[in-house]
Amino acid sequence: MSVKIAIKFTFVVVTTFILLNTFLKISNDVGNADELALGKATTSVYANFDHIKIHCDGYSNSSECINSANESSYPKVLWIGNSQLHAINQFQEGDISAPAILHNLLKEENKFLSTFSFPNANLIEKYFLFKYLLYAMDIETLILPVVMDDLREAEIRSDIKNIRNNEEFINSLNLSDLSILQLLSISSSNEDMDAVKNTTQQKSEIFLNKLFSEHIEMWERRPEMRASLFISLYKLRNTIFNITPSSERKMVPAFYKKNLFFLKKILEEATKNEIDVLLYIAPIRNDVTIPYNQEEYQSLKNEIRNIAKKLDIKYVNLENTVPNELWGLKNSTNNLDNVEIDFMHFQYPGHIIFSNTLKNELVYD
Amino acid sequence: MIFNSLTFLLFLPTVVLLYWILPRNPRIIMVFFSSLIFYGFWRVEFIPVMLISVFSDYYISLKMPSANQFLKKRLVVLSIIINLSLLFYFKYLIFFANNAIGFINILGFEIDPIFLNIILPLGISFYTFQTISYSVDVYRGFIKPEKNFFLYASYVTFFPQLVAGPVLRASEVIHQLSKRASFSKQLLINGTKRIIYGLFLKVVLADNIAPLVDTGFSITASELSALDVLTLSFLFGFQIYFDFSAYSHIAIGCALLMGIKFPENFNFPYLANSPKDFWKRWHISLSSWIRDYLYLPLTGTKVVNKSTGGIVEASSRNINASLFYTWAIMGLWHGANWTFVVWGLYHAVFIFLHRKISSYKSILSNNKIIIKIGAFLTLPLMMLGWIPFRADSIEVTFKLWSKLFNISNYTYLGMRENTYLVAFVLLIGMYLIYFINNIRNLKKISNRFNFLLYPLIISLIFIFLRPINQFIYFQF
Repeated sequence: MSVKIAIKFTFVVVTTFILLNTFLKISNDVGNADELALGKATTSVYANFDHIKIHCDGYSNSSECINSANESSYPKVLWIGNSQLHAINQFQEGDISAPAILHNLLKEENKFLSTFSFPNANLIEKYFLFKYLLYAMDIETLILPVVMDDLREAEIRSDIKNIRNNEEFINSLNLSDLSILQLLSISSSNEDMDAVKNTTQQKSEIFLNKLFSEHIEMWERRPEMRASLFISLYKLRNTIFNITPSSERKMVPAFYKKNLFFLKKILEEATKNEIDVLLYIAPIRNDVTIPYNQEEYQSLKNEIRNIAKKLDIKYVNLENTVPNELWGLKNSTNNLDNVEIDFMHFQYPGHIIFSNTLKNELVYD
Repeated sequence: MIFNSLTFLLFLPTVVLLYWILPRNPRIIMVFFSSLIFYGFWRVEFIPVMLISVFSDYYISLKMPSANQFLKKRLVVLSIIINLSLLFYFKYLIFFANNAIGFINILGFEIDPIFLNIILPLGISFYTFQTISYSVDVYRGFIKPEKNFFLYASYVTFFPQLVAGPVLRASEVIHQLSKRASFSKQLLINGTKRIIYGLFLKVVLADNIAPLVDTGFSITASELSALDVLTLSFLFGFQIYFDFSAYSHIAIGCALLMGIKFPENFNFPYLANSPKDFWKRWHISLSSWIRDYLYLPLTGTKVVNKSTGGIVEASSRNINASLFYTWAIMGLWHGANWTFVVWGLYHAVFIFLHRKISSYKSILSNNKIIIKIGAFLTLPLMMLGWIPFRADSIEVTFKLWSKLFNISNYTYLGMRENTYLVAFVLLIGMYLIYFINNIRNLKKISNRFNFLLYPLIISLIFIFLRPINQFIYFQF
């Protein structure tokens, strides 16, 4: 009996250790969940010039970009978008992304471009970040993309939710702003310590987690392991159901409406604060079947155009801006193929064309 | 202290070790103070509230044996009043006050709603019920009052079950706390297995289903289809089952590590073949508590010995009325909101209907096909019953339910694809596990080789263990 138990126990311990190491290996090559989602063929590039940070990935490190912008005497241009802005397909040493290129182009016009981009950034998140940036810096122009894919999202990531903890900002808001901001508190909770917040246990949990993270690498890298696990499940799903980058993704009506509501809120805020807006439909690869329902996509473009017209905001459709040959392939999102089409992220020459197009749209006299 | 945390995973072995090495009296005192520490890790300031309930019932019950029938009755009423007053103040005061104000406003008098910042002490619904049952059992003469204060207090505050049950009777626990079981490796193995299983259900399944459920219920009812409502009710049904049964597994496992056996609280509830059967399988300890201390007294049944469950002496009118009263109160016990009352009454209606149907189908009651049909119908009915439990208001509840009665609402979908996929996979998984458990040879094989699954389960717990969500039943 005892020998049997000992054998089983040893088996469980050893196999668990091997399994955990396997999970760790899977997520070993990448730094975080977002990189894991982008794949090896696409690289995130957040630019800074001479220690001046001009491109940030959300709220948590926003102060670096805000300080850089505020130190500049030039009028500020703000660009808030998704991974299309920071991801370069088939990246090569020395490549820079559109925000950096546009920053340099606008510098010649005596403007300071500050960019914030994060993967699958939906318009609800963009609204809260914009609202915060409005408080933190003077903005002259806002560049705002609309990406069909992002309108399928309605979750607010933890990074953006943390805006609610900025007391100075919260105190600066009026009642109606505060009521909208409550969304950050009531939306789905997914933060590590949420269940022990404001309890005695919070202190012991923080202490123990820190202790474990310092001494056990596996413990510290659990977020990456979680992410790689979800990516594996995602790939399994795609394999089973034969989901490819071209598979049609139907719009989720509730999320779509919510996103459009917050788009209008951003535009209204901008108008109220006398900020010029350049609203654009994001570039997309168009030599392959795009994963959108054509009717829904057309209807979105019409709706965006109408909103812009109604609010007297500059609108451009940039979906054909980047030539087909400047897009690329990315790591496959299923278990059968090695690579697949990337219809969201383009190569460095594409970033040059894209930023030049935007520069031309931002006509400065 | 929350089970799914590092703090608890260090706290538990310490207590278990002390439990097995300390002699009787220090051991009992250690259990009591460990339970207070466990509770204090949430909010120290609410320990006195719990102790009011503990002290009052201890002293009241001690007075009972020497009291005459009249005084005994007074004493048990006093115990009930003290406990229900605590419950009322912390859980229901704002609710009833605002409802009263609402009613007064309807009558034409303008009064503003009150805004009181009353925090609901964790587990108050559970420990007050336990102390009430203790006093009532002493009053009924089923048990003798426990003279050893620490032994009695350890029963009420025993940390594995303190916050979310199972709701235990004194007769089930005190003798086990008083006389330690003999130590065996099997106790440790079985207890650990239950804890691992519970943690898996909570941190891997329930916590990962939660965002899908939260997102689904954040969508306006008008945007959802009938299939969405069904999917959401199933998903939340699975979430609450994994969450709550996880708590029970961990509680049972922790107690087992100390050689204390708790009754089971769940038994594949979603495989029930009738609403009545469902409540014999879901939160079994509460269902039986409600039956013995609320439903039977309401029917007028004289409880002459330890719970018989018999309702023979009550008139049929009493039975039906009591059923609805009991379920309304059961709903309100879960939360100070009318949605919970609707949830309770929903179940009362189906249990009532089942009773009526049962009286006609007695000949067929053992028919396998009838049982299968019963199970097939019961599952969606019980799942849909979770809608008021999770929805923000009665209005939303009825809007969601009403979706099911319009055929045009079955023609579109309003949520992300993964939501349906996860619900479907969980449903299939549930039947698969049931299938394995019910085929003798398969069960034998699975029992023999289930240790092969433990590395995967433990790895997943390691990766997902973090206190992101409280157990759902903490809010009750």
